[in-house]
Order: sequence, then structure tokens, then C-alpha cells
Amino acid sequence: MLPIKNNRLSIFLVCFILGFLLAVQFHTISNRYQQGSNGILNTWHGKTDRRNTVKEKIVANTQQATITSLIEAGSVPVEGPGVVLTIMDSSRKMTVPDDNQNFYVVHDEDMLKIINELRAAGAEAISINGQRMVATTEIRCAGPTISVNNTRSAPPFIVSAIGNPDTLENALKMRGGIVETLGVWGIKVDIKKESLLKLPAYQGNMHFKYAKPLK
Amino acid sequence: MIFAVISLILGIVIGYLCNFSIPMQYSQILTVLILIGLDSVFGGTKAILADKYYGVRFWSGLLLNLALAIILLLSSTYVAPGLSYAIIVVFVFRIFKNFTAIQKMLFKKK
Repeated sequence: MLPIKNNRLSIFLVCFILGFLLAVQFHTISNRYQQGSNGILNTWHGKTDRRNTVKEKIVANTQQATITSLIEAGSVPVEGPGVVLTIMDSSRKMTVPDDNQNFYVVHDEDMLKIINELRAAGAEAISINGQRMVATTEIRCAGPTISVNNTRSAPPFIVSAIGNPDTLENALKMRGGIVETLGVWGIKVDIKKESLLKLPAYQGNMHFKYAKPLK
Repeated sequence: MIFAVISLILGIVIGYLCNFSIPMQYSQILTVLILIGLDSVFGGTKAILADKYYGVRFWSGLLLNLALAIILLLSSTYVAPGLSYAIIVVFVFRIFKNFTAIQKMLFKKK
């Protein structure tokens, strides 16, 4: 072993620095490998997370669309706030002896006008005397009774509508509106606001012989 | 000479503990610089053994080699990619040449 001299010091210094640089190199390379694998892992996680989010969104949207369709089709019972109307034939006696009895009873047109007004005011589900109104529901006069969904019912008619109770009531009671018009003949429309109304599902079968979806 | 190895190991240990790293693009340049340093160490040891050591020659040789290598490498990424491999070959060759000379001097037949 050679004795330590001044010139040795330079060599030792350079060696020390070299050792340090080797360690730096080692850390850099191992960082690169770790970053690489982390990068791949993060990309994979990111893709999986994105796929899951998209899946959840699709499921949620499908559920929402299904619920909307079910409510719209009337195939499920629904509940919500709304109004309950009780419509009764006029109890007034005829003012003029020759007057037509027909003016004083509730007709299908009157019922249709009421339903129209409710719909215009945002009613989302309507039932007449327990019959849920669906897209194919008809309202027809049948003598002294009214036929809804091929079911006859007699006055007093109970119409339940789910929607914004205040909006519905105001729409019916507005000046020149349906309640006022019917009231001229003494036909009473009794409006009651409810915070929770339950409407039944449509009882019949939906069978389409002529209508087919467009491809 | 053993102390040189010891100080090398010491440098490695301390560098490992420091956990200092550089951007990935420069790791190839760092390889070349390490080899140049090693070459100068071997050359210096050979000079010490041959009593021909001259401090200025040692340091100037080291620093000038480093400067030239850095200039060549930094400009070569666009002009001559892969130049680092050629420089590595040259300096490894010199390391082994000096190493052989050191061996000859250490294990001389008396």
C-alpha cells in the first residue's frame, strides 16, 4: 500500500465524486422504472375509473328513462302532490221551463276541457274516478254517465291530478277559465289541494295492432 | 490505492443516502462523464506509480475531457445520435489500457 501524499488526495476526491455520481445514476434509473410502472398503473386506473363512470352514467340514464316511460305510460301507480277535483251535475233547477236539460249536466266536452286545462298547467298524471288517463284513454258520454277507459261512472266525478297544486288550482280558477264557465250552469267544481296523492296504474292491456315503431 | 476504492465506496454510500436524481434525458450523458472520471483516476494512478504524476496535468486532462465530451454530447442529440456509445468505447478502452499498465508496474518481476 502506498503512503498518502498530496497527489493522492486529488484521486481520492475524484473517486468520491465518481461514487456519488454512480449513486445519482442509480437513483435516476430506478426512478425512471418506477415512474414508468406508476405511469402505466395510473393510466390503467384512469381508464378503469373512466369506464366505470361511463357505465354508472349509462345505468342511471337508462333507469331515469325507464322511470319516465313507466310514469308516462301509466303502467305503474304514482304518487305526488296535486289536486283532487270533485265535479257534480248542476243542482239548479231549470231557470226557463223549456230549457234543455243537457245544459245542466256534466258532458264529455266539459270533462275534456278540465283535463286539457290540467295538462296545460303541467299535470303529470291524471285519473278520473280511479281510471288512470293514458295516451289512448277516451272520455265519452254514455247517457247520464261518462265512459273512461271503457268504464262507466256516474257523477260526482273525482278527478285527481299530480302536479304543482298551486299552478293547477290557479289554472282552473282563472277568470274566464273552465271553473267559471261551468259555474254559469251551476256545475260545481270543487278543488282540493293535496300534498300526497296516489294514482292507480292503468288497468287495461296495451295492445297495438296498427302502430309500429319506426326503425 | 486501496483508499481510492474506499473513497469510491464512500461516495456511493453517501449518494445513495442522498437520494438525488437527475432528469432521465441526461442519464446517458452522466454515464459518459462517469467513465471519463474513471479514466482520469486510472491515468492518475498510473502516473503516481510511474512517478510521473503532475497535478496540473491530472486536473486539466480531466476537466478538458469532460468539457469536450459535454459539448459533443449536448450537440449530438440532433446531429449525431448514438455518439455517446462511441465515446463510451473510447474511454473504456483507455481505462483498460491504463489498468494493464498499472498491473505491469505493480507485479513487476524483480
